Amino acid sequence: MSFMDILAHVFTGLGALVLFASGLGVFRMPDVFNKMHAGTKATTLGSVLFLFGLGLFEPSWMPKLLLIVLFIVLTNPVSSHALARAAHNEPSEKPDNLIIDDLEESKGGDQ
Amino acid sequence: MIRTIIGLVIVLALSAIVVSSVSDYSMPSELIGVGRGYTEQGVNDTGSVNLVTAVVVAYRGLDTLGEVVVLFSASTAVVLILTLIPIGANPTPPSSIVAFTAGILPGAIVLFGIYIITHGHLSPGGGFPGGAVVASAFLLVMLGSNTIPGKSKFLTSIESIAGLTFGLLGFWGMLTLGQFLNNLVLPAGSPGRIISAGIIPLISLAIGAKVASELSGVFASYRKAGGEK
Repeated sequence: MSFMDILAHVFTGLGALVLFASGLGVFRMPDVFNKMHAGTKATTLGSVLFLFGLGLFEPSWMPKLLLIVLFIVLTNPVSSHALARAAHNEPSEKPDNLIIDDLEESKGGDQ
Repeated sequence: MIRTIIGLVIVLALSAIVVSSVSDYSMPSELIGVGRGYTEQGVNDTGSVNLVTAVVVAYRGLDTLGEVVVLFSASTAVVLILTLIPIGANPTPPSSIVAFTAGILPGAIVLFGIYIITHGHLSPGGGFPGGAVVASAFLLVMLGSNTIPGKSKFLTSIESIAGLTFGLLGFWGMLTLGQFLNNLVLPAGSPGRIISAGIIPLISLAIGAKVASELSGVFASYRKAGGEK
């Protein structure tokens, strides 16, 4: 097994671990924002690591995989941002222990 | 308790039926029947390297025409129902992050959609998925803007022209070769090139344009009906 292969295994393994942690977080976290934190931030990192590891296995796939990585990095945070704002607009989704709420203050406290 | 037992009995009986019906089934070691015919003659018959497209557009082209009609009637119904809902006030404005992303991504997405549509006979894809990708770019543009989309004659005419093209291509085969949607009214060319496989690329284009414009129309009517009342 060459050095590249070992590196590829490390990257894909790390990616799988992060994706697993993300799934576990969605399952275990108490409220919508915490779940979203686990389900979106961690999937971005997990998919990036995993795709990069795949690219190390097959160097000829690397350009396409890097394009996919770029697309995920551009879209995943934006969609989670939009989802989080939508959830914030829904009063029933507000967790009880939400004390500091900068978005609410910037909107002028109208609800 | 009794319900649980009855349920368990039913599940066990159904599993027994399933197991008994598949237990003596063995996978054939080679392709048989229609599948064999498609894989052996598909490239020669249609010139399409992608056999799925060969089946969907050439062998079963009439079914695809039916699917397009189904999509057309479904989207027409959605738009009809949504126009009954009064137009909302301005939709919730997008945050600056969403607006910025909606400004830079759609071009790349449309390009990718066109790639999928035009390579339908060479690689997985074709008119339906490619059209959906293009429509998603329109959706992104709509989400990133603060206005309600107006009535678009452009979309409707694209939709009509695309549907008409599909039908006319079919009749072309009927007039020249005696078969509706016969693929080889144009030469098959050399398989694997982008201009090859008879009228498959043209039909992919027509389906792609139709799906893209129809789905964009549906998105636009949702946008109009949504927003704060």
